[in-house]
Amino acid sequence: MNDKSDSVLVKECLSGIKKSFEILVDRYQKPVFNVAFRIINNYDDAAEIAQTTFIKAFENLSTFDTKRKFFSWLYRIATNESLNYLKARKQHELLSDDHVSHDQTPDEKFDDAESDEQLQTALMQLNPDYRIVLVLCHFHNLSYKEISSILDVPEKTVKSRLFSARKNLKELLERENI
Amino acid sequence: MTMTDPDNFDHIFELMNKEIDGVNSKKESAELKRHLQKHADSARYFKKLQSISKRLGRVKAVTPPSYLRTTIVNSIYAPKKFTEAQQSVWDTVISKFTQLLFTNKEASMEQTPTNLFTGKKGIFVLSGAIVAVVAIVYLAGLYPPADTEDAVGTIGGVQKAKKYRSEQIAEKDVVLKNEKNARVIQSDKFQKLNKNDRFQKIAKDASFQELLKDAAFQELLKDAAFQELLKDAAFQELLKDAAFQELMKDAAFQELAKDAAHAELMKDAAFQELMKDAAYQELMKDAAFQELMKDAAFAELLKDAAFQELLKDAAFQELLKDAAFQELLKDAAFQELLKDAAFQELLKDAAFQELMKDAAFQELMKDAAKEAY
Repeated sequence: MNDKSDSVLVKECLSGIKKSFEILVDRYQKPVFNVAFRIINNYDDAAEIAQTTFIKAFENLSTFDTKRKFFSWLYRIATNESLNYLKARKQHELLSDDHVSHDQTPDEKFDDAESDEQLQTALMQLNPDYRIVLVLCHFHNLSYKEISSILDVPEKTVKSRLFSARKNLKELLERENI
Repeated sequence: MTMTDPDNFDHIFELMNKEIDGVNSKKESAELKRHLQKHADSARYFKKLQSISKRLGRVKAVTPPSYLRTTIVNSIYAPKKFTEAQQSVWDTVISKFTQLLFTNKEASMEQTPTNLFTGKKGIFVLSGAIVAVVAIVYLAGLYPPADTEDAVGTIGGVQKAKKYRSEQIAEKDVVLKNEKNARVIQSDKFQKLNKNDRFQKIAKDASFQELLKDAAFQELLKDAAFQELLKDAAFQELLKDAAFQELMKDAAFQELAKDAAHAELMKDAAFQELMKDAAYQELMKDAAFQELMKDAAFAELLKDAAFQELLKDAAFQELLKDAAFQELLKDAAFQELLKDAAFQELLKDAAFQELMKDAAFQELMKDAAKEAY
């Protein structure tokens, strides 16, 4: 059952098999949550965005173009929701204590956690458009094309944002002496 | 050609970024390589960009909260709004519990449509009634009913209940002793919990209903600290877990739950923190650990005062979350060893706990335990 492709599961769901959507939830809840978390930097609100993302996807599944990749569509909803959240907040939030990976115990790989924290702090100082491409490229290993599809912008724009984001991040980290 | 040349910068900068992303052609890679060999400043810049990209790539994914999946799935299955029939059944449920708040409770109890929550001793005292009502509705998940037929099967009939309500209940008689708990019933969290259809099913389980009737368990439900635990989102997620619900239906587990000493343990703040812990909840959902909890000997161990003290110990709780230690806990011979008072003292020692997490040492402990018992 879990081996079924996204498109098969989407079709099953559209035919009324809600259980198939549960498999999609299992498959993508973590990446969707992480997209939101890295963009907004708030653990609880990221969970809420992830929930909203899946509910919107479920409710609008009939409008989904099955020729596209399901995860691209899902990520698109998640990034839009995250951007809406940021607009609502009208601020770039500072890092909260919640950001540390829940996969790790406190005494585990402390250096990595510290490094993650510094990076996340720097990320939060970037323009959200730049932050999103960095998150999608480096945390989710997506190609220019996939990011272009998710953000609905030309690949050229993705590259431009990504390259500028790296440059800005480099300068930020140097300025902070990290 | 240097990075400081504006015309060249954009081109080289693009090649650097594309190299990092692995999309340069061989020709482009060669061009970048030649450039970097000639220009130290560009090489340093590229190295820094590469380093940042690698750091970004090493950032660990964050684990979403354990309740996320359930919340999403419940939202998908949740009915849009109450049907008339559902509202009717909910009214019945409310009336059923409201009777417990009446000053004239002795008479009310005798004429309840079902004996679900009645007992020979007139189990609820007025001062604690609202607490018990909230907790029982909360635990039993009677709100909102999934559908009319199911709900009628659960509570013994809508018509009877309506008749009972109209004859027995007068508004002036209702005394809410605890408004805080009354608000719980109206909270989003409470409503979300009770929309879980799997959770509702537990209310129909006869043995679980027996548990609800148990005096010790009722005392536990009335306990303020335990009510706080019930309001905890993570614990609510545990209550919604199908495997945990199965565990709650199990006779051995219920016996354990009824045990007064165990109920005391459940009221302990530190132990409640442990129960809220995601890792411990995972342990509680684990089929093998559930088997262990159902095991009469282990249940006895859990009732043991000294062991309960050990369970309240923060360091031991950390140890309990360790996967390897959880495996060891399931070993019968080790369970025997755990009951030993001297060993329990040893278990509280931080250094020994570290040692206990070691797989080889655990094997040794199992062997030693087998020899001893």
